[in-house]
Amino acid sequence: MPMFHLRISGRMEDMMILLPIVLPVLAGFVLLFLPDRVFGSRQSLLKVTGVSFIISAFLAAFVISGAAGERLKLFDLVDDIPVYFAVDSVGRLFAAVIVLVFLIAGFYSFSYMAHEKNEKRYYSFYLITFGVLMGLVFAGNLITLYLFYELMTLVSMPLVLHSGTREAVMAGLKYLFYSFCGAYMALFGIYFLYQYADTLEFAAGGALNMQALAESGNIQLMLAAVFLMLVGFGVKAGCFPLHAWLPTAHPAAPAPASAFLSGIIVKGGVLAIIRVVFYCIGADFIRGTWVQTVWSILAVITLLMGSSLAFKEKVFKKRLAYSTVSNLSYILLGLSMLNRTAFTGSLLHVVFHAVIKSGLFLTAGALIFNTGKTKVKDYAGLGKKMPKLFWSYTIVSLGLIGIPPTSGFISKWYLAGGSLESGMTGLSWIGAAALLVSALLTAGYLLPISIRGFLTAPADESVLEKYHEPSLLMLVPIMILAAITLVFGVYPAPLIDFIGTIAAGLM
Amino acid sequence: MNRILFAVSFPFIAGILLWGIFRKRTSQKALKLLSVLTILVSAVEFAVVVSMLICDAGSILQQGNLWEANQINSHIVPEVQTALQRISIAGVGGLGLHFQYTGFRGIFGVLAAFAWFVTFLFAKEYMKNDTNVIRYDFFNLFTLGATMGIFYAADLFTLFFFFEIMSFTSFMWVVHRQTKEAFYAAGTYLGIAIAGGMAILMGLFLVYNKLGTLYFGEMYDKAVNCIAEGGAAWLYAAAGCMFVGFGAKAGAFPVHVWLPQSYTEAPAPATALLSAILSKTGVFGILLITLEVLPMDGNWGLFILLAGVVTMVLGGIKGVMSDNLKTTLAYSSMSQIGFILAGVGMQGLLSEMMVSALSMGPNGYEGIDKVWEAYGAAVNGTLLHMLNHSFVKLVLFLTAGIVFAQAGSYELNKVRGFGRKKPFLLAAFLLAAAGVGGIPLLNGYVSKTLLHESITAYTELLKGDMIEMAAVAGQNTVYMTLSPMLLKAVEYLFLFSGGLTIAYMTKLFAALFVEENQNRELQIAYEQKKDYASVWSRLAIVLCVLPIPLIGLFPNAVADSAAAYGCVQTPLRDIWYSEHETVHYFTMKNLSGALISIIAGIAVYFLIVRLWMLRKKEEGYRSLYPAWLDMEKYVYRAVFYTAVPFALGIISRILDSIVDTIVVILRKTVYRDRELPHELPEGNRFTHRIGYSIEQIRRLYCMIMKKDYKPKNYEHRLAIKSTDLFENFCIIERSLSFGLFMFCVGLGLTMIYLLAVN
Repeated sequence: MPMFHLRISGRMEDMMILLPIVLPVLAGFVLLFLPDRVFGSRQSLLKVTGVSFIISAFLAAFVISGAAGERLKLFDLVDDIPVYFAVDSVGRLFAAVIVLVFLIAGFYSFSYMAHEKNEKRYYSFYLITFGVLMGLVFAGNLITLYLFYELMTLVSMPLVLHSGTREAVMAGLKYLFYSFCGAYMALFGIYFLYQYADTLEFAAGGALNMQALAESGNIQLMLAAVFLMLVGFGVKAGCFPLHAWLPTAHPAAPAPASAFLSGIIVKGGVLAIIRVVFYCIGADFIRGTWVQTVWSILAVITLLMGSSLAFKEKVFKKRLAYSTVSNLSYILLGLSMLNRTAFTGSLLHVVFHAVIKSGLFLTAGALIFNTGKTKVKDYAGLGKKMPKLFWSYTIVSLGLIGIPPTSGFISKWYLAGGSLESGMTGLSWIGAAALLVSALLTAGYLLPISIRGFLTAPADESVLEKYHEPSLLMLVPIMILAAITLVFGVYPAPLIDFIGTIAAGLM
Repeated sequence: MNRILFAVSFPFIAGILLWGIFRKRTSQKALKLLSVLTILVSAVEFAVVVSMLICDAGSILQQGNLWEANQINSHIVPEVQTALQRISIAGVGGLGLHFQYTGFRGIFGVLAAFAWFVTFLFAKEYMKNDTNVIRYDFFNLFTLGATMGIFYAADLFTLFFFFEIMSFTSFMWVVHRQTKEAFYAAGTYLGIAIAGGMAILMGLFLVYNKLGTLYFGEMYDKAVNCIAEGGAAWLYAAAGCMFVGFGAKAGAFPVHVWLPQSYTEAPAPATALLSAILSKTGVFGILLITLEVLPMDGNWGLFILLAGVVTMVLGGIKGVMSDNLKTTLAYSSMSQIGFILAGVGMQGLLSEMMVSALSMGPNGYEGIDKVWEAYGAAVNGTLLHMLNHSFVKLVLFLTAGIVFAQAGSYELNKVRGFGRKKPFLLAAFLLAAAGVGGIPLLNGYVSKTLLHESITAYTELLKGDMIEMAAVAGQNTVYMTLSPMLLKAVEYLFLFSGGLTIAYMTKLFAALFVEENQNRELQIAYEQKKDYASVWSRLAIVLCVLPIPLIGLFPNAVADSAAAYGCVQTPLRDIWYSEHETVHYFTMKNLSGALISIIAGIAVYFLIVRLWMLRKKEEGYRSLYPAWLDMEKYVYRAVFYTAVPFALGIISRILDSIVDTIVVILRKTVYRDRELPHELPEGNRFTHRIGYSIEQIRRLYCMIMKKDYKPKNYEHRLAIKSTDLFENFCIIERSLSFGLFMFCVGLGLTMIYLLAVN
């Protein structure tokens, strides 16, 4: 019996789901293997890349809109474990965020990458990563998800070690080591889960066969397996104790890639955790167990640790990377509370953090591109020369702190409300308080840059002469992200409704 | 269009428009136009809020009088109701924004618009030469809009929403001058504002979690239930958190530390607003907690009362000891906020007593009228002192602004004698200073008398048979545990603080208007300045001065009506239906309180200021407050800006590196890489010897056989052979086969051994 026997199950619309997955990957490989001379000039390379970006995004939007089919079974990997895609609300939400950041960071990189080498390689892996991510979000069962999860790690690694310096290579290796470490922990959990699950297909509320599990008496073991999966997938989401790769790897990449890594790739871990907990196991199974408690404690530790380290960090991009560690744990904390309000908060923060953090990394990129300086203290007085950039930066910063009327406030409101609602002894209010302490630290590590940028002058004012607002291709993406931060802060109702429906279906 | 929405949104829109127009224009003409436009904007704003007040108050008067309105729930005639009831913008900011109009909100909305109007009038001259005036105006208008949002908010969420906006936009006031001192002050201001905001938010989370609503009016009932069900601890925690945030804005001890420096660094019109309006938003918040989150709770009332007493005494003492005009005024603000908080605390204590009195037997406690009266005095006194303090501080900070604009300093020694031969300035300053000092016939006397009255009445009630009656009724209230001595002490501290107010105001007045500067030439220059204030600035000051004697001279007509209107639609109005009795302000008993304060004030002035502060004539005024008692620098900054981040940093650093450290340790020990074999020297001694020998033998052989000797370099060949061999050995040694080989050898040896033994 052939192991890989293609059974195309379907209608044309269903096959369309494959388009945003396959085409960007193909385009990426074509770009990668075409020799440089085919393109002649940089301009034509950018044109080809730009068109591929737009087509990929368009295809993804097509699937998100629901015009394509809902589910597609591609082929059986082994007996009754197919590679299977399904388009559901969570997937759509993640896909929409990915498309947004992909396009914005992509077009930004046209300007930024001008001063980096090997542009073609960068764009090709960027496209491939996008395709793989689409596979990840539309995966319909745990095995497919795992497949694309591992692929995501592999294809995004070239983005980390792009510059090829020793530092970048070491960062890339660290990224690989930690990611695989986590993935294998998760794999163990999947094996274990397979025995007691009716199916590995994603189903709201999970498909755990409680009867079989209770009879076998392996409930504790199952909990341990779930915990391993949480920690394993948590690696990608930068959760303590296996978070150390993140602050090393993200700053090493070029700025638009950092934005993509920090805004999107890390959300892959979040998505995997959502799929495992809410679609495979079911929130009820771990509610009230030690797994929930330990999970929330880890999240609280991570979010305080990330903020404190960011507060102490002097290099701007590294500071932002620590901030990512902290903010992803906002999301994990919300998920660990296992109630609708907190879940809503988490998904809101997935969206808002993606927007805000890519905005911040792009700002960092613009500053580095213009001034060549990486330390925070070097940005004094630049606000007068680059008012638009610094205004946008200030808005997204306020968003990350969570000051109304910016979007971060909305997610914080739901996260803390959900945390208190969970009724976990002690942890409920500690969680809420930790969010606020972290917000304070966030203010401490983001706002001084604005304040110094606008209101102080460097010791030698003449250095400011040569600086000016970044090019439109860099500035406009950042301004768009700032505008989104404001718009969702002022009027988040549709998004909240959409996520509320997802949450209601799960719990 | 709804007027509340207009009042809130108009300043924001106007701010953005003006910024768009004047961003790049810096000519004198453009700046003049800008200042006129800002005055116009604030005038429109003022007109709108006044029209709301007239509309509402008019409808009440149409129905009867203000006192009855407090008893009737639906006092508003239907057509007006549609315009003034709670309005919502759904979905904004998550929970939606909600606004409503009540008497209290109406009064403070008008006050805020008024304050902005006069400060814009004043800023026309004051900010004339400022290069960043558009930035100032932009953030100023935003602050106005946010303040309106706070005062008209119908729920805690809306209030918080605008409170945060206000905190951030008003930060730009403090940092405006961009000097090193301004940055220092602004650093503290922003830190406390953000921390306070987060504390409020924590309180909001807790309240929302426990009560399920944030609407004013609805929280009240739910809170009563929640306390009855034993959830009081959570509400105390929530209220405590919110006190940190609102108290910080008000300037209450112990979160007042930002106040002196920020007030000193901000431009004068901004300081006037900080003191007159922004501090009131904090008080407004605390008042709402007292009314809604912890209604009729004695513990909370006592806490606020004590916080208020500490604030007023500390502020007063620091005010007396300061040698700086603006800093003295800043501490004066703090002290007056202490008076207001004491009033709020008395409201809490008295409302508890009132509920307790109502539930004693079928007809309640027989002396319940006295409780109502005392409660009424506390409510009215608080509201009136908030109003009075605003007017007075507007005048004082604006006159201080004039002094600064002309003399270039706030230090008393430098500005000493500035006010001589300036009758306008003297009159304004004197009225305001005496007004806040509680001199009869001026406004401060009215409100301080009411507050004092509520404290003494409460003390009397404690001495009476209330406590026994409550014990008989089996109640367990806070006032039963209070001793009258404590309240007596509060009363004396209250009067003493009134004395301190008079003392530091006398100090300022004497320094500015009576004494002469030690620098003779400067004094002459000061006295020759006649055009020290433009018509606009004078108009601004006159407008603020007017209410001071107005309230003081006609307390029953002006003050009592304002207070009665302010209480329309407060949650406690249902149980507070006290018959209106005219308060007799100018009785011997009330006057004696003022007299005690005045005597104490004169004593403090002569003892502290004249004898101690001015001891060395040539030095002039010296700051008496010891520098090492600077709480801001040695407690807050040391702890929150240095110690806590340091500790958090260390802990986080350790946590951060746990896994990395483990990996490194493993790599250094168990999972160590095998060291790369060294670059071997070609061959070893043995191969060299043999190779050399062979070479020599060959040479000898050639010599003997008479052949041509060609060196074949055996030495080198052998060396290479040996290296190959060695490398192969290395590989074998490392490889599994080597292990197997060794195993075989071992096996063979074992067999030999076995054979040998047998």
